[in-house]
Amino acid sequence: MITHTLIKAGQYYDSVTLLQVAQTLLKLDGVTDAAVVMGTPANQGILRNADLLSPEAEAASPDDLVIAVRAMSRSEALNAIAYAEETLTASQRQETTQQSAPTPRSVSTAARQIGDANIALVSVAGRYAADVARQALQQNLHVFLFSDNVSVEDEIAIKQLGRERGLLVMGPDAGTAIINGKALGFANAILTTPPTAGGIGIVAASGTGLQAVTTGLAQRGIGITQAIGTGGRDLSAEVGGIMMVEAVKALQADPVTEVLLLVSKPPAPEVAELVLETVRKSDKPAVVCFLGGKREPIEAVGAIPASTLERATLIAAELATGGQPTHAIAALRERNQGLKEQARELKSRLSRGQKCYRGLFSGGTFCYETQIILSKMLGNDKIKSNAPLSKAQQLASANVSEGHSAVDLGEDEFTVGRLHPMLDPALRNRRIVQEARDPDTAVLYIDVVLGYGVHPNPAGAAVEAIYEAQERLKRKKREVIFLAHVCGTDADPQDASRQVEILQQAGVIVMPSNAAAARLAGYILR
Amino acid sequence: MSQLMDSVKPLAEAIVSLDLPGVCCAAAALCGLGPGLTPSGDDYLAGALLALWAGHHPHRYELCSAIREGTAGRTTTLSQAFVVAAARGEANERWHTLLSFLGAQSTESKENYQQIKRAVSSISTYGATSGMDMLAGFEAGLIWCTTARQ
Repeated sequence: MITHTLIKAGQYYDSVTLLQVAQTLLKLDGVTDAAVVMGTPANQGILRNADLLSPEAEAASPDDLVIAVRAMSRSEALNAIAYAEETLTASQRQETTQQSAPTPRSVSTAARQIGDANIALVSVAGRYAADVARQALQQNLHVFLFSDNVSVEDEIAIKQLGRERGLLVMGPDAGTAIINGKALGFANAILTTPPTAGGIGIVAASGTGLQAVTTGLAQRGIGITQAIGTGGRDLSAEVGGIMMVEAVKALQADPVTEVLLLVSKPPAPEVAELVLETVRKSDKPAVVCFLGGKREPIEAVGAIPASTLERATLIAAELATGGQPTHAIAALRERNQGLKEQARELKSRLSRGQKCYRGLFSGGTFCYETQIILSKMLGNDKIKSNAPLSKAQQLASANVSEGHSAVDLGEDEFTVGRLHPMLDPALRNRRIVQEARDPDTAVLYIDVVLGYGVHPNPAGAAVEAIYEAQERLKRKKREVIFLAHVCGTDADPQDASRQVEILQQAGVIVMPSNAAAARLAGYILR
Repeated sequence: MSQLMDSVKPLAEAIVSLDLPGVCCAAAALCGLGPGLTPSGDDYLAGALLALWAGHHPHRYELCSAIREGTAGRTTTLSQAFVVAAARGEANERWHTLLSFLGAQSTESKENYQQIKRAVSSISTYGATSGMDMLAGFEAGLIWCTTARQ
């Protein structure tokens, strides 16, 4: 009987591999006993009792792997040891040859591996996100920070660091950006300059806002240079617009960008001032869409105000193609006149008790924009929401509409433990049926958002519920006016034109923009 | 492995009789014992330590201390880290899941029973034998807790 031992020091082998080696050793020719254990005192005791404790095994430390084999002959013992050695080495190699290089475990290793990386996408849980973002910034990477639940303090700190290093920090809670033609987060297939006409550089503190203008421009054949998302909180008083200012400066210095387009909810007043000062210093024409914000401060710095996303898109389009903003404004006015006509006809379909608007939104900015428009048309205190313009308009329960209601289904109360409505239509579909059941409902609106990373057929999914609702309505001899708008392009995976068709086939009136739909609803209901 | 079972009995006796030096010795004998990167004996101890916390053993601080002391230098660095963590009442996600279901109000309900089953199953598949070894220790630990409160 010959005993041979192999000691493997300072290596990591997972337990499953060790078990497999041990089991196989015992099956090899001539092997009468084998052990594959870590060199702990307790295991050395076992080896001793089994007559497998060689001097090398005795000298081993707890972190050493001990492979001991007893066989009938020397050659069989050596053979078994060789097998163990090979198998263990192979298991290590496998880990590294499964991919072209070992999986990096740190931002710095990953950055080194890619070599010419210039941006990091961060999507870890909020409380770790700032740390990871910081590491990325230290590696000279711009950051797209998809994570939410990042504290304001963290946001300020990493944006200040980004500013110091001349790097962008897009986010937190950044839904969208399009950088050098590459879509990050929820974004659409749009056109970039060159080779198309355009040259519009966008900075948006709103994900769906960014999607609305980029897709609106793309559908008109107009390209953008960059669409930089700053995250929804960038223009708050605390954060102070750090990234919007940096982004505007960057676009100002960018030779390919010819027109600036800013999109946001109204910033805190001192932040609006700061941002507009930066815009004033720019020699490129600028369109500023602070939804529901005041025109005068914008005009005062020589920029063009736009009160809706649609207006912003059309004015920017004029500027990019050498046209006149006034043309866009006039065209919109005419279009809106046409809506009044359309509203008259639609109103005749309603029964007497049907008086209410119900908007079911997947895009928070669309919900916001709609409330601004409908408040003006129907009365400030008349639109309720779970994400209202003012506290007084808060819905008692987000699950139950009251009067005119605009419900943002992407808000936290709907998305904890559940996918966002752009990914999973189930919740909105149930709500569609629920609203249709309500005899007060006159107009029901949904925003249909397309793009990479969202549901493959949002229109198809929604019309399932709409058909069901219409069945029930037919039995009650009632009609609800279904409105929608599709935010996307024909180049998107879902194909905007096809999505429009699907909706129209279900009797949904598809409007060219969220604002148009809100306006039409307002004309119907006032 | 009979050696493992032989080493478990002294531990149980020492814990039940609150013989701290005995606990320390028994833990030392179990520690580092058996196959695996985290030897089976360690996994058993880790499971038992978690049970002392989860079951609110009245003397859990001293017992966990004694067990931890017994393991010093007698096992792999990796395994030691897990044992030390368990001695502090720290565990991985699968254990947290199980503990949350065990601690739920309606432990009698059918749904809760299914949840516990699934959580145990998830732990049992951990590693080569680690999960099962830990569960064995955990079960033993819970029994010691019940005994202590009588």
